[in-house]
Amino acid sequence: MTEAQLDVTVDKARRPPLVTVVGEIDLANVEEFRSSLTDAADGAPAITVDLSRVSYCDSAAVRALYATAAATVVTLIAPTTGPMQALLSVTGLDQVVTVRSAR
Amino acid sequence: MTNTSGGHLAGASAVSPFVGHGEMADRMTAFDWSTSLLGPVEGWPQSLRTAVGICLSSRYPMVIWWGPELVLLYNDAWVPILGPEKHPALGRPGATVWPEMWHIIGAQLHSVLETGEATFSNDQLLPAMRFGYLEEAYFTYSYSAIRDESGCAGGVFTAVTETTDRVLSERYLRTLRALGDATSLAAADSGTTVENVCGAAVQSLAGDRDDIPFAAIFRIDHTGAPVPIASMGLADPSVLGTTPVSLWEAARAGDAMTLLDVPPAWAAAVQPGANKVGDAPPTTAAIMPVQLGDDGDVVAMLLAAVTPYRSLGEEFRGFLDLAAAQISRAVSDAVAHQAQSRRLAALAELDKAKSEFFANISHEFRTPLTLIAGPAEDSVNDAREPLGPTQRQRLDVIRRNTGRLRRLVDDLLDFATIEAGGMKPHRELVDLAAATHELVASFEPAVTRAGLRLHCDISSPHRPVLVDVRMWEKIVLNLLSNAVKYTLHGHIAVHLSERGDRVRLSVSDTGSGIPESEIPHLFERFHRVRGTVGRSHEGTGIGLALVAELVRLHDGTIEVRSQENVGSTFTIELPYPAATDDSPVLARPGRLADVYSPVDEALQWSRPEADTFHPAPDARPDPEAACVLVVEDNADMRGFITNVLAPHWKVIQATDGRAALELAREHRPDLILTDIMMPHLDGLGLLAALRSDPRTASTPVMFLSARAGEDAAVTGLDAGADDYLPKPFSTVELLARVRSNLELARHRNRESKFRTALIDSMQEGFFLADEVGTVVEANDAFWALTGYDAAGLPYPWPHPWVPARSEDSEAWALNQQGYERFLNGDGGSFTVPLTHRDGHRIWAACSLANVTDPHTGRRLFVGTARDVTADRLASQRDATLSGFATALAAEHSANALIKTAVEQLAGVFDADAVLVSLRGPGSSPPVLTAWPQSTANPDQDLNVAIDTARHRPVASVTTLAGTDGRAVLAAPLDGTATSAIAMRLRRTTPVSSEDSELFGLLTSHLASSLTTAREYEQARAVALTLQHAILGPTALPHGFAVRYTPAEEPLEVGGDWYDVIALSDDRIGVVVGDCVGRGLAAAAVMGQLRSATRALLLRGSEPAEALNELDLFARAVPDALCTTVFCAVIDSRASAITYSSAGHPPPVLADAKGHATFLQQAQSLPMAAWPRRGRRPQATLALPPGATLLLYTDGLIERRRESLADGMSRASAALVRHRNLHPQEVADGLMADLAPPNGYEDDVALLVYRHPPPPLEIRLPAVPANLRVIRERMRAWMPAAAIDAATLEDLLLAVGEAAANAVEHAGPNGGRDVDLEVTARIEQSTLTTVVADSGRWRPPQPSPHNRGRGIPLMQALADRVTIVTTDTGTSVELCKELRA
Repeated sequence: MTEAQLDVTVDKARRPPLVTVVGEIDLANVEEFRSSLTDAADGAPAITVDLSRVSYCDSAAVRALYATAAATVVTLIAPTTGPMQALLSVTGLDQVVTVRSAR
Repeated sequence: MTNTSGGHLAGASAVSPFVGHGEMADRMTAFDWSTSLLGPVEGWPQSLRTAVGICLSSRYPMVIWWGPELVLLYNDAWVPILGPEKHPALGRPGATVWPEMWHIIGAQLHSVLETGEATFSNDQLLPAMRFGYLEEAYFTYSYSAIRDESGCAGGVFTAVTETTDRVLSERYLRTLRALGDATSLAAADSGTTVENVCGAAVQSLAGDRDDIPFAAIFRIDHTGAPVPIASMGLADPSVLGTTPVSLWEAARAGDAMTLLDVPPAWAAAVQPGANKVGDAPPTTAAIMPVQLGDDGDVVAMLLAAVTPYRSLGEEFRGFLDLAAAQISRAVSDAVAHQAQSRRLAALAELDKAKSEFFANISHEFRTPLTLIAGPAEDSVNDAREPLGPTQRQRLDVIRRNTGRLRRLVDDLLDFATIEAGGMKPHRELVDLAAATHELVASFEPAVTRAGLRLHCDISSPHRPVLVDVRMWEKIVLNLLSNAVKYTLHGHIAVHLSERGDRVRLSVSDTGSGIPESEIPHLFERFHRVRGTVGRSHEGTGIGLALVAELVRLHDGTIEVRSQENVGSTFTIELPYPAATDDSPVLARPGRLADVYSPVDEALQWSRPEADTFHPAPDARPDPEAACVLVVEDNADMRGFITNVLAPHWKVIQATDGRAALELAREHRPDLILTDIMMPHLDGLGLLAALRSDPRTASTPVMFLSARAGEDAAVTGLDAGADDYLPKPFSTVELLARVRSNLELARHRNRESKFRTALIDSMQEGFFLADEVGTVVEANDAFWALTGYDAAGLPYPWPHPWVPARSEDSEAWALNQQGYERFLNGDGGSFTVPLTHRDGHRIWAACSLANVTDPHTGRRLFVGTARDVTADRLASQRDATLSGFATALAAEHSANALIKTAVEQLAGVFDADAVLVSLRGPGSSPPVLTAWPQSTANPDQDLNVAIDTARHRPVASVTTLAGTDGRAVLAAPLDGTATSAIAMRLRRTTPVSSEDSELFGLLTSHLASSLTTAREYEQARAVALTLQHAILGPTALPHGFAVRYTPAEEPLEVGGDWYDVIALSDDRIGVVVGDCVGRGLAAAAVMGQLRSATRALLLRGSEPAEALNELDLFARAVPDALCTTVFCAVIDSRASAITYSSAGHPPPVLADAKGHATFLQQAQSLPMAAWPRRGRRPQATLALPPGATLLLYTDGLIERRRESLADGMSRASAALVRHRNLHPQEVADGLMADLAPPNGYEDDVALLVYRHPPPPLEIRLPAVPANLRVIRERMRAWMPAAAIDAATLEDLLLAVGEAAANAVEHAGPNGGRDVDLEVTARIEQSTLTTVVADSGRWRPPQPSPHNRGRGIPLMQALADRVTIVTTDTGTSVELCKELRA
């Protein structure tokens, strides 16, 4: 169960590269998310991260996104309501990356 | 309303027996009974009060007769039976109200009072004085006794129906039927007269003196004076001799019905016993004309007295009209019958005269014929002064034709003599074999010339036969002549033989035969077989008839066997008696030399054309002359005509129609002169063939025929011949007619031009179509109507002005119907919708007539078409308005109304765009509704029109010119300059006044509907506000979910209610109730009870106590009786519910394990039905953690044909099924699962409460992998704790952050040494979650993108965050206030 909770795919053929995340991100698997981001951002002037199918994520994920946003331009596709919105605004991430509504 | 809780009624007298609000209830209430025979109402016995109640509440006519005086009390429905003259008759003794019928009903009523037994009277005659005269009235009624308190009959109760109309209608019908039978019978009688029929009619009317006390029929004589010819009902009919002047006038005017005051002398003479009601003399009589046919002459007058016991109403007039019509019909029949008889007699007389005339004239013909034939014969045979060849030829023609004429005359004479019975055979003993042989031999040349073979087999008889030898000769020669005439190939055979005592002669041929249908008529005189092919068409049609007569005179028989195209055999048998004596035998009958023989005639049929005349070469006309084709089968006639015409025109000849047709096609003659009766193809056939061929269609044709008389001429001209010349004709006449016909043909072109001009000058559209509907010609008016022109001719069906099926199937179908009538040749008139070339719809009234093209004989149709679009629109307008009103009637809201209205208007006017602008109060922008719906900017045309129109008075129509010249119509929608409607038409034609008027009409209707809709919407808004105000609280404590569905749309309030009242921190009052009834009235009661219950609970009452006090309150509230209420108090701290139920269906409690319990330990009766001093029961039930409580009203569980218990167990099962879901989802699941297939029929209120489950307690090692486990446990617990999804997600993140912090900072051991503890519990709507670890806690750091973001996040997501750090570890407490 624990292993199956996260599925991250990186599409580097896309311009900008696209990271699609499905599942839950927490301390237990945030490394996988972080390395995918690093992979996608490698040499890319910008990347897109699609979090629209993420059912849970917390500040661990935010930290990973902050690190990536320092290296490249990040566009986030995420719900603009609910806890995700609170997460993005309270952590100030929405000031650092571009957030596009998942809908 | 009845008090069902028991106890004796406080006293009947307290309540008025005069129930309802009808006229009679009001009158009875107002009546001063104290001075009446019945005394004051308070003193009335209960039986009377009950009876009066029943009487007044019935819609059926009812009356009560009370007491020994039979005092009247009656209801509204009985008022018409009493009649305007007597009403009101309340409280009066029956005998004084109905004196005129008291002798009947008085006795019946008293009998009921005495015996107590009911009576029933069916169609009883009761003479009634209701409208100022004594009336013959019929009633069906029943008298039944009303038992008073002593058990005796205190009065009589009557239910009654008036049957006068039916009884009288049936009587009228009987009378009319009898009249019909009697007069038809009289009219059909041979030798009938108008007088007989009138006599029978009056006699028949005597059977209904109830209605017609006396009647008479007056014949109108030649001076116009009425003379009585039949009467009934009068003791002395002679009084009719003195007729009043009005009768004369009526006869002269011929009006359908005239009324007459009955003269005193007539009234005095009326025989008694006419009507059962009495013997009052009639005062009025009706006079009606007796006419021949519908509008024919008035030949008589029917006078019918009107019974004094009925008013002369519509039905009675109808009855008299029908009687007069029946007599008129019978008299017409009789007159027709008389005329027919006279005609038959005249015909018989004529026939006799004709036979005599034939006999005389035939005889007279013989002398001049002999004097013509004799000298001609002499001249031909004169050897001393021999004739030149031309003269000889001419005289031969004369000789031959006088001979033929002579023979015809002889035949006619013979026939006439036989018919007159004057011919007797002069029998001699003849050697029949020899005689016959000789006759056949004489015919041989004619047979041979015709190219036929002759077989002759005459072997017997051996003995002489007794025959009239002249007659035998005629028989044989006629049969032979017939055979040659109709046999074109093959042979003719003659057999003579003896067969015992008969001699048999048979003549067979291989000719054309006789159609089977013609055989029965073969021996009728003047009958000529039609359609057979013969050598000549000459003949009189008497040959075979004469043969048959001659055979009959010899006591013989004749028969024929024939098969078409195979041949015929005529067989004659004559008696052949044994020889009795030695009478001299006439061995060889001599033949009369002066009789022109049939042989000569038969030879003529086969005379080659070369034998006929040829004009002398010097008489030939110049080559430019017109060419005339002469068609005639008689060679002499053909020669004669040719001779006459040849000097003037070129003449070509043909012997029959077939040959003529070929010549006509080849030579294109300028005129064709043809005989009518010819072999192969007759004149009519030739004409038809010529006309159907375009090469010869317009060649003038002139008929020549021996059949004189107008009929023959009309037949020829009808068939399309140009002229008709009957034989005999003179040379001069023939020349003149041929010349004029040739002239006429030359002028025909000029005429054709004139005709076109004439048609074009017609005001109505005119067109000409061929038999398949192709329009081949039309006039200017028709082109103007349709927009098409003559250049497009011909226009085949379907014409371009017929709407296409795909565009307007209805219009297409109408045209198709017209077209089918056209194809059937029905003609007539019909109105069809057409499409003008420019696309607009027109309606045309068409009228078709069938004609025959005089040139071609083809069927054609001439039609006229009139533009009736305007008329049509006017009649459609009414239909449109009613359709529009119907469409609008279905809509209640202003928005839907406008939407429907603009769609309708667009359809009616074929509009391009429609816009409605509604301005609310104040300066808010107008609300626009557009058709078609579009997001584009509002149409400028329409905006301008709306601004113009909205300031104008109501119902005024503004017409403006829009873009592209298309008209814009606009009208205000109220008189306050706020709203208006505008519409732009699709077509560019100007707006007609009809359109404008219709638009005004429809928009006015819309305006008034809109006003109604706005009022309705206001009422609805009030109702909704009311509902929200009284239904129940909108903010509920945590754990509750409610649903309310009203039964009665659109007012969303009803008798059901729920209430949740926070009494203290731990105590919540819960109420569900159900008032009787629905709608606003029930809602008002509900509101009061709800407020009262709420107040009682807030005051601190226990549920049972609250209900007891509510009883007191409910008794004072009208219509609160039988309201059911469930009242409970939930104590969340004690986890218990205390409840009491006033007749309400028991709520269900389902625990977390799925065990369900009904809360039915404290059931008692509904509101106000509980005894005043009774104590309602109360029970308490423990609430297990996580249990779900369902309160509901009966609408949720009730289903037709199902017990309440079934419904309750269904609800309980559904609750168990959904027990782990959030209360809102439980409520949705229950509403969906329990809904009947067609939706809820009654109000439904339901309330779900979730008692908090046991606290969530998790203890796990502080490792990352367990973060997910914590989330899963929380996701399972929260819905059961009635926490919604949004709150859950917030908490997951807040708890997740706290737990992640603990894990992250659990130390180098990766958290395995440190335990993480998460607990969650609900107390008084507060959810408290604690995340605690046994390690160290790091306070937040200000790093922008690293750690420490957790705490602000928790603060954002939870209402309160408390962090306590001790030596043993850190505890984060997250509190969240919960709402339902």
